[in-house]
Amino acid sequence: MTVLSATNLSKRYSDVLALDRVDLDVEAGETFGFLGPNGAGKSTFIDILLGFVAPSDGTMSVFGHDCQDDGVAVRERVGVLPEGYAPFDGLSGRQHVEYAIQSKDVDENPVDVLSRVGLRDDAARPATDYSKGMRQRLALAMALVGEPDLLVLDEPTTGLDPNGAAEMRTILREETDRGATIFFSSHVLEQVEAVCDRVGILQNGRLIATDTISGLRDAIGGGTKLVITPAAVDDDALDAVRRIDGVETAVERDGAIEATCTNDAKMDALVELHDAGVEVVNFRTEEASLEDMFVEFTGGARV
Amino acid sequence: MTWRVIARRDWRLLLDARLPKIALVGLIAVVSIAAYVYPVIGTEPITTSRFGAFVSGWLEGVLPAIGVLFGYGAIAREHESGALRLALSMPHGRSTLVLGRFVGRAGVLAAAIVVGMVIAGALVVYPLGTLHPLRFLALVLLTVAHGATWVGIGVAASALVTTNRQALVLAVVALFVLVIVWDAVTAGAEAGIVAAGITDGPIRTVVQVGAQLDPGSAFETLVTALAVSDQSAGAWYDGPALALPVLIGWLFGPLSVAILRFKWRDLA
Repeated sequence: MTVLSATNLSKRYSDVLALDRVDLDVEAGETFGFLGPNGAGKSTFIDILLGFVAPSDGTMSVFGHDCQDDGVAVRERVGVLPEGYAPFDGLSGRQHVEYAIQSKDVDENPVDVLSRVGLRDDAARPATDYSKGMRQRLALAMALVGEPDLLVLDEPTTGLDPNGAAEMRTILREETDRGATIFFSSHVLEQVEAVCDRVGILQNGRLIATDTISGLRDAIGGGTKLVITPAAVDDDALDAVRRIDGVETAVERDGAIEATCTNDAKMDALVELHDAGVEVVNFRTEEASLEDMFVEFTGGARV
Repeated sequence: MTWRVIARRDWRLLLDARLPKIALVGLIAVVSIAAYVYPVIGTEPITTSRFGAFVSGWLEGVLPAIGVLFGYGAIAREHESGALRLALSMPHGRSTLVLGRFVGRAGVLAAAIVVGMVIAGALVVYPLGTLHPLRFLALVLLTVAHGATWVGIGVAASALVTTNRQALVLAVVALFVLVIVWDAVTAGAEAGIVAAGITDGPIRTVVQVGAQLDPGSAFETLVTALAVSDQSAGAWYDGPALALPVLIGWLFGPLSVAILRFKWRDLA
């Protein structure tokens, strides 16, 4: 069953095209990662999903409800951790969760919800006094109220320390285990790689790739990363590697050449370097990381 | 009925904040002092209905400022801070959000008005005054409507802009225009046409109707007509036939316009 469906979705802000004819379907039960460099249009996409902004063209629906015309019906089934939000003035953490419980008209114990995100001991404190990480936990707690069918998380690990990020991943796994669908936008590629079944890459408002991580790897020619440590790296050595058929990218990093390439091109790269008079001290192959694939798909843009 | 959840939250927030609490105590104090002074300086007979005519001028001075104070931060403050994103991530429609905020804030003011009026009624009636229950009830309801009108104007200002400062400026400008400028302009126009020797006819009617179109004049006219005396004041525009739709228009008009604008605009 399709949970989220965007069709020909575009959004223009005066002369800036923030989203350009995006088509995307997210299926029930999957954890979908939404990637893109700053300004790629990720937040605009989520803002349209939540009804904060209207699309200039196209439609987006969640559980069959149009996000603009029937936003309340959408949000009745969606838990949201919005980016760039602030807590309510004058309310404690507990009162925030109570507000979410009352708004969603469910019967839950706010202390249990706060315990789940590690805020039980801070429940009585004003939420405006919380740190950035605690605010993220609080918004997650509010999103989890009512066991939503879809969780929309916009940069959920912002401000979280590594333990906090790991706890969030655990919660997300628990949510998918009970059958929830997760739409996860993040610039932390390791987080996306760790939890997502499928990934969409957005660049300049266009969805340039949508696939599983292994599918993306295949799409860039098997997704092997060859790490070569030469005696010295110079532009000639890099150019020599880049010229080889099957090599997608070749960059210098920490004194080594990192090249994403097909399996067939690996030996060619080593031979080419040898012929160019470059002494190879060491080499190894790795599976291309999501970051490597991201760089490949976006032509060098970094998240 | 999610507006109730929103209204309850705002009710609690307003009562927890220091400035609104001071304003509420001030309002109750003003109404109580008026009721304490009225039997001393008022003329016989001392009744709760004649108290309406005495206190309406005091209320016209106090209620607009308190109403605007209660309303202007309803939406814009959270728009500016980002809390509006959290509020709208819940299953509330935008109209419901504005309406709930209005009801919560107007409700607090209404409760304070009722408390103040109950105290005032007791002070007027004890020991020698007379209670006219229906007219006193009309006075209370009209005062609540007048207070809610100004809360609505404040909330409308808040929903039309994106920062708290803009909302405050817009609300204060509305207050200044409707309370001070309106009276001054219509009084000046009236004096002008009298000086020009126009004592009757459509021009004079237009000026006199114009003088009744602000919320304060409508409130005062209705208090005179419904809470003080049921005798007709004269021309149709000096009675409830004009004042009632005017007050209702100011109660719902600005809020409706703001809801429509807020409902369809991008909030990114």
